[in-house]
Amino acid sequence: MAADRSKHYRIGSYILVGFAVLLFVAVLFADPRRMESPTLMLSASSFIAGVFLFALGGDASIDARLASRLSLQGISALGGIIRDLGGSGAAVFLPPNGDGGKVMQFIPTQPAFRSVLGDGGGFACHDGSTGTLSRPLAAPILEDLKSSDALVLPSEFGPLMGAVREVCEDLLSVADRVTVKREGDTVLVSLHNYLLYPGCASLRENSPEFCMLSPCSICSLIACMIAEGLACEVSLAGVTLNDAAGSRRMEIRYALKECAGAGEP
Amino acid sequence: MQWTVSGETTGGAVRPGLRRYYMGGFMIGSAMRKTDAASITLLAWMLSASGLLYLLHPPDHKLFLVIALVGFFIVVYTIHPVFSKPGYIRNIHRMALAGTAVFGLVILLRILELVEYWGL
Repeated sequence: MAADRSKHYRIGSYILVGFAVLLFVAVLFADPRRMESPTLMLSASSFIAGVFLFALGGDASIDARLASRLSLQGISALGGIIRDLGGSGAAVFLPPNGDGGKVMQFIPTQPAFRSVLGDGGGFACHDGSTGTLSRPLAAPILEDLKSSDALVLPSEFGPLMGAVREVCEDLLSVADRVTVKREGDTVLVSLHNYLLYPGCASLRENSPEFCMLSPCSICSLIACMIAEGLACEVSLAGVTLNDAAGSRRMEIRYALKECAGAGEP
Repeated sequence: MQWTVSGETTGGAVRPGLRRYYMGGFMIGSAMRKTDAASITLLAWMLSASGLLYLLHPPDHKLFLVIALVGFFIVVYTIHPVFSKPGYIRNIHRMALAGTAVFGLVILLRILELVEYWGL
């Protein structure tokens, strides 16, 4: 858990710095002239390690369970609305349209709903199918990461997956380790010890189809990164949760369509 | 479209893998975070250096500081993100700046010692 980890870093740093001060005082009281003693080196080691731990545990974090719940706020309601509007299949993340464009999310609707909607007002057409076009749920997070954490999205597959790993492991700290594999037009992203696992599992129990209609939090964020980085259409092909041996692993499969070419394997 | 869940639990309690060891939430094993690994590596490096200096050489704090800082810089280079700047890396940058100043000071003092030794 990110909150626990940050707290442990801070506690560890205080212990190490305190230990360093104690050792230094012991050296001073034992024999002030013998400043070359190995105890002083031990004191310096503890001090440097303590400051290092203090630097690592900088950011204030939110409780993992609360974060897991917050990430799912409104997903069920939104998914229900989209389903009632005829949403079917998986959402497609469209790459930015030119410079300064944003990633958009297209959710196809069933053909029967076209007649109900008349001229299709409020809906968009894409690849011959009608559907809703909106900003993805993770779009604000991606913008925030770019502005506040200087996130850069490379246009090649390898470096882009490095950026995905950094976002999940370092910036958001939602997973201990992230592995990425590509098989043809499918990208498999595995999040090990996924922080938001409980919320994801509860959403699956209630309404698994909503994940495909309107992907939330991390699934949406990674899809946005791939769509913007590789300039290709991305859709969620499947999600697998695995809690074997307490690993809390989540595997997300993305299907790539119409890649611009830079991201070809 | 696929959504599956698989798990391995015994009576509600999760069986930990053999390759993992938990110490109050701190984990050593295949899924160790790089910041955890970095802090352990740095501390192990400094303890080893101090031990070896004690055994092989009269304890010299300037030499120890240089060796410790070299280890610190290598660790920072290894864990440094490429595509972003997380909050913690800004703190590490400040620490590296202070470390560079100390490193430079030690080198300067050693040069002055050499100058004095050679009577220049």
